[in-house]
Amino acid sequence: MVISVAGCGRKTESAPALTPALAKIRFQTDWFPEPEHGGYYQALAKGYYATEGLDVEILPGGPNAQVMSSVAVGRADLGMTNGDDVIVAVARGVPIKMVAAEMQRDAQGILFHTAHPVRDLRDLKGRTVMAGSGSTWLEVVRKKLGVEFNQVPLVGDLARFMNNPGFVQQCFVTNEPFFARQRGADVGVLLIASDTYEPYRVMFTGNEFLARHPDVVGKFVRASLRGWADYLTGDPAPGNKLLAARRNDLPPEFMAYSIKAMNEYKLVSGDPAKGEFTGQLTAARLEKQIRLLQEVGVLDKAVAVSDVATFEFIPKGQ
Amino acid sequence: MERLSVMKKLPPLLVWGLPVASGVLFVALWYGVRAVSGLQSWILPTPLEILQAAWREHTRLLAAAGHTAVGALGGFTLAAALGFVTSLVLGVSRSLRAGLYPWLLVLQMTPVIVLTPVIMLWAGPGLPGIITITWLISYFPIVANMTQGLLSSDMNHVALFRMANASRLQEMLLLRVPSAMPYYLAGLRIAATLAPIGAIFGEYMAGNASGGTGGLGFLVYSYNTQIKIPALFATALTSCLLGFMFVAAVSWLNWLVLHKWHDSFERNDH
Repeated sequence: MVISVAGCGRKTESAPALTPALAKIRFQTDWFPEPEHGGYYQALAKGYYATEGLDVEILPGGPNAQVMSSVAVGRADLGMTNGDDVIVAVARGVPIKMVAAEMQRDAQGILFHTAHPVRDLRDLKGRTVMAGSGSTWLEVVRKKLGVEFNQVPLVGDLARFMNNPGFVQQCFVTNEPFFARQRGADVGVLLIASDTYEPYRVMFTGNEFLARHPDVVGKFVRASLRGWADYLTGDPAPGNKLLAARRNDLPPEFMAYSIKAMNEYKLVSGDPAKGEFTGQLTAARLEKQIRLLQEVGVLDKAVAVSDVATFEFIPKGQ
Repeated sequence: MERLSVMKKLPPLLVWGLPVASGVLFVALWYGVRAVSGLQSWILPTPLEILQAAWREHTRLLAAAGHTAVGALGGFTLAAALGFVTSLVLGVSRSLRAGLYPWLLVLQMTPVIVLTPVIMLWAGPGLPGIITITWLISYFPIVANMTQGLLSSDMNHVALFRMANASRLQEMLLLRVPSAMPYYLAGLRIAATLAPIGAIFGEYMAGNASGGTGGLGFLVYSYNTQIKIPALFATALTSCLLGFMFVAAVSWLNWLVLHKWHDSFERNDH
């Protein structure tokens, strides 16, 4: 439910004390709480949302979280997921739009044993790969790079990987390598995103919500990006504390690893040399992604960039 | 029951001794396989390592079991109530039964895993979705048993009711429902074994670990991704215990309802 904050008018000084009631916002994440959602929890913990006049509830996701459908039917106001998925959903008629990037590059990677390295996606040739059925990158590797490999369905555990030195498996560069190494495996990881295929992770909202509450969306994006910057470059303790309270099975060393990986791969900040910055979405890159999705057969019809994203909330480049 | 009477003929020492012996043999075999194969603990943990993991993780396991119990109980209660009502409807008339029963079969035959995404969309993630999944899994055995029970009343009793000009409602409530109780309870007992499994499956497919702790299905994810295999086995152990608790509760209910009159309970009053 949303209580409009129209009374606030244009902000000159952020003064939350003057706001009569905070606008209630439900934000749907795509998985159980984890450091990959850290920026949002940091924004919540440090009061960045409250400063913007928002009372944000972060809804935990999980298997079959149906993030996009939840937002489309109004069970949540905003959500986050892979940018590709939003493009495909929009093409199928789901009324949602990206409003900002969460990560300039998706954190998906290939986990391998260093004895049998994967330096490039072409190295997957002839190998057995455990990967999420229907993942776009599989089609890209097959159709765009012409690389054939055996695929086995991803079940989210590392048992088979740990047992078989030739095995490779889809992972998050921010996640599985930590646990595999903890169990003594000598593993490496390759980020799937490359110049050919570089999906964003994005924040998105429903078209109806966007039309009715553009101000709220803008505030949410601003506070979330502030949270992300602070989580990754400042002290992540406040966000981690919230995460730990919601999920008591994540060791602190894992959270530290995850944050380090997000920084190392510049997942959130992007590459300044390429003119990228936190939150940025560009029409050119989305256009390129749409064309790629069509080319590999994931999209059966074209979709306009203006239908999948709005750029009005993207901060001006630093 | 025949099997029970066979058990009774065994000396009590064997009744207790045989399972213990087979258990000991199994554990010995387990240690043997581990020793011979040289497998590490994260591939094949020993029973001791599992118990140690259970102890180390006991706060998490207990909280998760509580979470799962809520989902299982919710789904089970819903199935017990709706199953009862559905059976009454099916038991009332032959045409209703003919018209509806095939659709119940269709529902039963549809794998829940296929319906999960839709359930998530309609019922919502977390507890509502988990309860719906548990209900779907445990509903049918109750309906099937109870309906069978309603149709299996002693024909002499039915004839007596009809001769006395009893109404259909009287026949249903005073004769058919009481005499169907053993069937209903048998259905509940099957459902009681299915409900915790349904809830764990629901958590695995539709859980969101809201409220700071997920159920046992969530722990499966957590321990799996973190390669805490002994803890994963400990989760299985906990799930098993939860299942036994459910069945024990229904068995107690069964005794409560039936022991005064039903043949399956021997009375000591003569």
